Amino acid sequence: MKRSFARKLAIVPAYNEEGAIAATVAALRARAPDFDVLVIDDGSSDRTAACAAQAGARVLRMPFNVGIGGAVQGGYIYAREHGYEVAVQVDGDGQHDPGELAKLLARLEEDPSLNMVTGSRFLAEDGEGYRSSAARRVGIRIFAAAVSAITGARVTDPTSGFRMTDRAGIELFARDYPHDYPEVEAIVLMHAHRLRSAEVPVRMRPRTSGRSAISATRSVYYMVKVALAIFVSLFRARPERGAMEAAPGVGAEGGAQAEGEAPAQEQLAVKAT
Amino acid sequence: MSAPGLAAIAPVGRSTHLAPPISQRVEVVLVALLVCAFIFELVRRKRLMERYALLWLLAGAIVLVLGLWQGLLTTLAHAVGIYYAPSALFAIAFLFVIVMLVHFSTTVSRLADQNKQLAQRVALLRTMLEEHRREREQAHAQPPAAAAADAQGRPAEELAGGHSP
Repeated sequence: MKRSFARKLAIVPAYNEEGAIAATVAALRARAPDFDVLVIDDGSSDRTAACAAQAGARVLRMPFNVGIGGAVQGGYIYAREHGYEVAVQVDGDGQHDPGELAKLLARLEEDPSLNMVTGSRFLAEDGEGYRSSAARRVGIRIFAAAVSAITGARVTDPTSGFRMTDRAGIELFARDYPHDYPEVEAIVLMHAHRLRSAEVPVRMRPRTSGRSAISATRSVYYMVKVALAIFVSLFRARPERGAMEAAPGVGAEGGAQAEGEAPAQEQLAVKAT
Repeated sequence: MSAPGLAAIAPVGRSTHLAPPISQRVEVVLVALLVCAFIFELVRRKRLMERYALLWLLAGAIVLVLGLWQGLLTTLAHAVGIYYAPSALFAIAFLFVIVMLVHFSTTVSRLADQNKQLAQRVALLRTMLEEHRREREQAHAQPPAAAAADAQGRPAEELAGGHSP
């Protein structure tokens, strides 16, 4: 059973990306012409908004810097209120290749039970493309293991911001989205709301301009904050159905992971088909 | 300052060996009154909301009572097994400060969340306003027939909501 989507939105968060944003927008319009482009200017002090508008994007201008989570959520609220059926996040710095959108979309269309498709750098068999620094890969692998255990599906690139959601995902993220460093948490959030996500191999490129939001000194904060957020999320009530099984008597973090692992293998077998 | 006050002046009894001299107690009372007056003034100038002032006024009142009622702190301290009364004071003050800080942390979190929502709404409304203005300018600039064609070519966003099969 396939489905197809008529209204599709590319959400492009950008903070001081005047050097790259025009090229990103142009690439999106050229290589993914059926997507409307919405650039979210998160309180930039440079000409990001003007450059994006000139390149033909719609621009959502935050009155001040609200952080990546709040900016992206603004895009999801826009998508919800303007009746979009699919929204995809594309970084404004040129790391994500708009040519890969078709791949993500195809995956989402062919499996109607999926609510989110994430582009993963680590699934590609040829091992090419940009894969972040070695130190970051260690962190990514730790989170990949934790998120895989929690969600019961194999997650290889939990920090990838290159992700496409259907209407259910749009509505969830418009309502609830993590404040900062949201990628990893968002996967757990999807799972907590009984929405399904999967990964698709993509290639990424090193950023063409600007700096990563996560500097070396902030990496430690990033790790601890995200770990705490994931751990806390295990104890939140899980909406929709099955709220009772959400709060098992889990005492320690080790216990939580052990509990998460057992159903992980079961579901993996189901999903492997 | 009747019975306890006299007890301090005439150092007799069990707990009075820790009683501070009268001048210190006057200072404590003065400081407590100053804190209360300062908080009151902040509220009067509307620089501090009543709900947050209450906690500080409570703190000032407790210091005032402890300063006036000499035996109270020592009695309380002994009751919970603290033999050096000022330690009890530090413990109470520390606890109070911790509670206040946690309270402020939750308040800041709530405000940050509301702030984010407002920023998002401002951004969304600004974009909507600019789009409306542009459409109206185009409608005015173009002859009516062309404007109508343009309006048809652009799908109405609100109508296109929901899933397509």
